[in-house]
Amino acid sequence: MSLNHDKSDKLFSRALNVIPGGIYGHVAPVAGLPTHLPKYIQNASGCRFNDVDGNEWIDFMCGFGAILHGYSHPEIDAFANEQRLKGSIFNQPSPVMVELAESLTNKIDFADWTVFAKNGSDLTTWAIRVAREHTQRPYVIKAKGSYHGVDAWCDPGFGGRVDEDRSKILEFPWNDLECLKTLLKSYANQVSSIILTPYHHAAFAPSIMPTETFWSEVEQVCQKNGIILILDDVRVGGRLHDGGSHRYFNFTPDLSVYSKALGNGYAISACTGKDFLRNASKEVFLTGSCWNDAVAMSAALKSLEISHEFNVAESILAKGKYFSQGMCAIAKKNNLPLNMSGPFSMPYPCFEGDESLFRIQKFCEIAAGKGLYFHPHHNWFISNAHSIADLDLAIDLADQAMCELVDLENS
Amino acid sequence: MKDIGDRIISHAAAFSIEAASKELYERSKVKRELKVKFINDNLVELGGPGLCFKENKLLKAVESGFAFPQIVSLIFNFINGIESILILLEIRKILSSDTVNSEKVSLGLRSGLTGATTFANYDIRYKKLLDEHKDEVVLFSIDKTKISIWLYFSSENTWKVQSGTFSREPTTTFTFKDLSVANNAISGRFDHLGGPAVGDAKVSGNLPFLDKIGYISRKVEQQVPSIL
Repeated sequence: MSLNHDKSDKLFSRALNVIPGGIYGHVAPVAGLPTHLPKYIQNASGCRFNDVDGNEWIDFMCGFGAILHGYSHPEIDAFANEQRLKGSIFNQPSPVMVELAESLTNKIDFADWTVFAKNGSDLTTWAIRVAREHTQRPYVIKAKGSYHGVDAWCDPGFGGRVDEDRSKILEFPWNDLECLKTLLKSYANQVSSIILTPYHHAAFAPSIMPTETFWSEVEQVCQKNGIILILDDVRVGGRLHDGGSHRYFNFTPDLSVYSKALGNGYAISACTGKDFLRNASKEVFLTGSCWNDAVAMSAALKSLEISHEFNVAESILAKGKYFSQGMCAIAKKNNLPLNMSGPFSMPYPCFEGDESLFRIQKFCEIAAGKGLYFHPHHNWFISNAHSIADLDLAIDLADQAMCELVDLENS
Repeated sequence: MKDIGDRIISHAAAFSIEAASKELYERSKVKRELKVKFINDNLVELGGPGLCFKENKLLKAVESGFAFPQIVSLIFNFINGIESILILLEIRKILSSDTVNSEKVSLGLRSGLTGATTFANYDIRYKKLLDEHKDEVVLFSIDKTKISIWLYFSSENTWKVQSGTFSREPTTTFTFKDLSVANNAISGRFDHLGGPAVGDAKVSGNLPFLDKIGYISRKVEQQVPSIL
């Protein structure tokens, strides 16, 4: 059974007239379940949201990772509102920018400085330019299939590019250290940086954790070859360790980029770096119309404080484990073997033998009819607002959805 | 297959005609297919000796409905040439008709997708794009009809399109709501982002592959002249 989406659909029809495709990017309906998930959301609180048709959903996407502490978090919103009353954008930055930079530089163990922008892409692109400036080398290495943003050097789309956009970008399969070393040999003294996510979280495929020696070897080859190691912690940051995901995997990058969870839904990104890159960072121009947004910076400041005070990363890892194990148990009971790959705080669900994704898509469609916002092709997110009772309810509803799926497949 | 540069446009047009003739032949509407053969001096032969165009003239014929074929070839293979012209006219008649039926839609879909596979077979950019999907199969269909068009990588190492039944299960499916929506799609009037969201089509399975096929198809539609 599908929930009523009349208002959502009407809004979408209006949007089609004035917005190409209606909704674009990773939240385009066609990238998920086009007719089963709501297209427009009215409001959200904790781990639940209401769509414009008044349906309540238990959410497992958390604004695609932007929400760490729960939607409309009272303390964060109050703190942000205090700043909002004073103003958000001025001719010059507000004092909160310095406070936030100090907070991040203190919390990220290797960081000696921090800069801010609005989106992950702003700073992943800036970071590779800082590395090029420092090393005076052109090439960048990334993992094949990894997502680092919307710029032409890395975006997952096809249009609007020329060959030159990627002529200096090299790729290796995640965890394939031999291939990485071969690339380094072939492009000796030409590689400026290696940019990687903490683990491999490509869409449309199970997540892949790093092998035991992956990060230490990557770190070593970077040091040996004078290459800048950039951690793209945009999606994962705050969900594995409150001091950055490198702490969870026990390595040290030279630059690290954060966004999504940093402001708990307020648009902000940050790049932190080691002291030896300070001069290069000053040479690569960085600015934007609203990048000094004091409201988002206030929200990020409070969000970081809460993460640290309540050990949020550990908390959501534990909640995610409870949820993933519960999901796997009901899947086993229904004879639908399910893998929840990746870390527990952001699991990617995949039914065994379902490489074409038909089964997970059907399951998520049925679950959507019960008010569960499960995405069939993207890792899910656990927030600290998910209570055990919420997770139990979701597991129970998912169990019902799996029973219906089995009946459907047998019919 | 080697990259053929700008000639890809005439190749796509020619192979699309061949695919349309094949569809008609399989529907017993014509006596034979218009097999494509590229010969020297940028000449393309359709349906054996007789109907032969310079590649630029073929594009003109598709776009405007008429272009002179190579007269010498026509004179020396008159009957075969005239038969081929009649098949070509039949394809044109069906595709340019205002009537929307399963014959027109399957012809248009098969021929349009064949244009896309031509790009994927001959242009290195598109070839690379599909490299990782060689084990995959897309099924295009129209709800409540028997139309099934399959796109797959063949044992001859080329991307191919065929109608009817297929020996493998699809890894991706694209199902149009009805003939009218499918007709819009073959005429370039389908919003690939908005369409599935308003229920005009249902997409399932491995979407990145479909996304790439869709992108290539739109490039074909922009660059290759069409009867529609």
